[in-house]
Amino acid sequence: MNQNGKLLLELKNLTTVFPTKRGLVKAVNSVNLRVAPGEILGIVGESGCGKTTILLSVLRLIARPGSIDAGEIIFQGQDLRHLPPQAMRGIRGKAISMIFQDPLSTLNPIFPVGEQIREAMRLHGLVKGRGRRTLEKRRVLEVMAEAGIPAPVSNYRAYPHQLSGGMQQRALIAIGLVCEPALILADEPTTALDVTIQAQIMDLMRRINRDHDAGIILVTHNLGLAAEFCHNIAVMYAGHIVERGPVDLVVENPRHPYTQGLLACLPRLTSREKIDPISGSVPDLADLPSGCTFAPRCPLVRDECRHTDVRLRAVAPGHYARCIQYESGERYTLKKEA
Amino acid sequence: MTQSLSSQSHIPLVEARNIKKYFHIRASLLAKALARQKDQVVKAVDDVSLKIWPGETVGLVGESGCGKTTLGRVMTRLYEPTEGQLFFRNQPVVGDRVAVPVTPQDKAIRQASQMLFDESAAVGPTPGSPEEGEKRDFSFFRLTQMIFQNPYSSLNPRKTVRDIIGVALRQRGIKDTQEREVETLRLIRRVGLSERNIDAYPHQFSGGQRQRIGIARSLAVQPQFIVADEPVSALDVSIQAQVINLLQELQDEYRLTYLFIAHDLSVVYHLSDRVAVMYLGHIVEQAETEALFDNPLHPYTQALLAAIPVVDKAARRERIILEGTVPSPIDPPSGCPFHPRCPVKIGAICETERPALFDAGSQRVACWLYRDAGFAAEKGMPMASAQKRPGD
Repeated sequence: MNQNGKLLLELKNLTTVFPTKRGLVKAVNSVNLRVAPGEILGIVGESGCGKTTILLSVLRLIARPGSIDAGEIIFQGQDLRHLPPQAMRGIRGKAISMIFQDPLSTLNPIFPVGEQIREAMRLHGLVKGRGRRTLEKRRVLEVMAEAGIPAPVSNYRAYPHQLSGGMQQRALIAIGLVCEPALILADEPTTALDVTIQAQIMDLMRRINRDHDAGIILVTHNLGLAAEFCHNIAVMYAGHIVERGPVDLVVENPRHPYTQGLLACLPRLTSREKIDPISGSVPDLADLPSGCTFAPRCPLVRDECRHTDVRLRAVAPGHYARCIQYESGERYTLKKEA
Repeated sequence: MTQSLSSQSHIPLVEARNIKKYFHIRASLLAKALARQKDQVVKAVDDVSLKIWPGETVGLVGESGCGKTTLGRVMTRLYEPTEGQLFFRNQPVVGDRVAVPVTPQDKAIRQASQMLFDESAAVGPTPGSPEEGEKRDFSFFRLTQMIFQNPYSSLNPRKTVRDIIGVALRQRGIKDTQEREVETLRLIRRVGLSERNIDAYPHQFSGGQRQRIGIARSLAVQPQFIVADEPVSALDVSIQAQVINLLQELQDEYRLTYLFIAHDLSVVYHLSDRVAVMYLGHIVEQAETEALFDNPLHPYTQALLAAIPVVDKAARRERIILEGTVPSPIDPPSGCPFHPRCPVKIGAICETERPALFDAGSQRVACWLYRDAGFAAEKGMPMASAQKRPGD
């Protein structure tokens, strides 16, 4: 991990909203995040908590009537939020690329995968002048080999349906890699795959991170995957980041009751004791409870939780939690200990 | 939790003997004439035998396309097996019917569960109160039930909860509307839904609640054996835990026997007494849960266990990255189905002959490494790579 303090991506107070008939849905609610070059950040949470919306907001791919309501998206020093559309197109797929969850619905069924990988290069005009096509094709074969697609020359002409799920995901990764992006956004890249194939793909992603020093944001609901793969993780609940910090601290010493509950209800390979689930279910984003959004399900809930606005507070160096128990005095005592 | 029960009874509740299930893909005449295509056979389940003892939970794991769902459907008789025979308490299941001798245990179970038992439901030659030892003809569908993976597509969107559960209750023979209502409410409450939900439609529920409706529906006919096909894979972690706990409570309460199909090994570890691992239509390893997870013998099981990402550092195993993907069951490899991906292939025999399930200690494993059962017993695991990292 690059530790020179320069940031690749910084989200400041990012808020993305979707107006619906039932009211305004704040899918992403004042989110602050930082990614350093070469860092792997994991965003974990249950479905509907806003993980994917963060990624789409970074690329400004929020479909109307949804919009980015507030905040800054600072990527390599410039605020993407106010970039003209044309400049934004120059960034998508080049400096920042995205790997989607379902490869079969992301790849175009009527073009060979090799051509789809080349398209990403062609659109950004990476190679110019005479012999462009040959040079581009050479680079595509190189990337296909790097992504672990066997026999790149013959698979260049393969259509998506002719490849297995794992190979389709590799083709998608090759599209993401071909322009050598500084930041890769991976949205549940292995959820549609079997575990042994998942292991292959995560191995590939780790190698890409190491060899190209590319930053990766991995969105997943699989805490185990995030724990093994990421440097830092952010836990989301109902549009908020409720806890964030270095992966070992968050997983081994979770400070937010939601993170604690989430870890407690994972079936473990170390114990077959009865699991202790979090009661209730995720709140309706259009009708959020006031105060802490986790209060209705929280085992440690106090009266003031329901009307006090809580913020992310440091509980240890680099480790933050959004819970009333760290709002006032306690965090100072913790800081002193540290 | 169920050890005492299984040791008491000497006959398996459900037994699959040499089950094969093939699906035929027919090429059209035109394709045959022009492209010289041939009819193809998908060997989804190929010669599988499995015994399930009363009261236990058997976990069935494997990757997509390995035939685990097909086996589950054969064992609930949703599919007719191509070959092989299904037995319920040692009685052959013929068509969808089975004649089961009445044991004192049955009566005890029914009384204990306090469920309404309607004699008229037993369709067959012996209506009225059956004597002990007498055989009674049952519909197999009343003895077994299935809980499906996707709670969004397994409930009819145009029926209310009352209708959905009512159909099953009518099957059980409860003809009186009032009685059905009482029983429906009892079931709804038992699976953790509120009584006022009785007239709601499936779309008004969350995924976890829908899965609860599916569970209530399967309980409605008072089955003894339930095949749960990935019942929690579509659910979020916190909801998944709630449903797992519910399944466990119901098992204790009604002495249910489960075949639990899943690809998530941590869930299987949590719930199962025994585990069977499938690969390409075959069971490759079968063992008590603890034994299988502590000491996986088959190279595929080892790789599968090593591939699960886990939160606890102590439980992490050294990754074994398998090459390639699962071959197609249309044209499975010769010999051992796993040999093209196997990291420890021992020689030509792997490519030519399919290994049977060998006994290796308490485990049964289909791998030529264990042909000599003594080998495994003496040397322990032949592969160091799958052992937990030293020092962890």
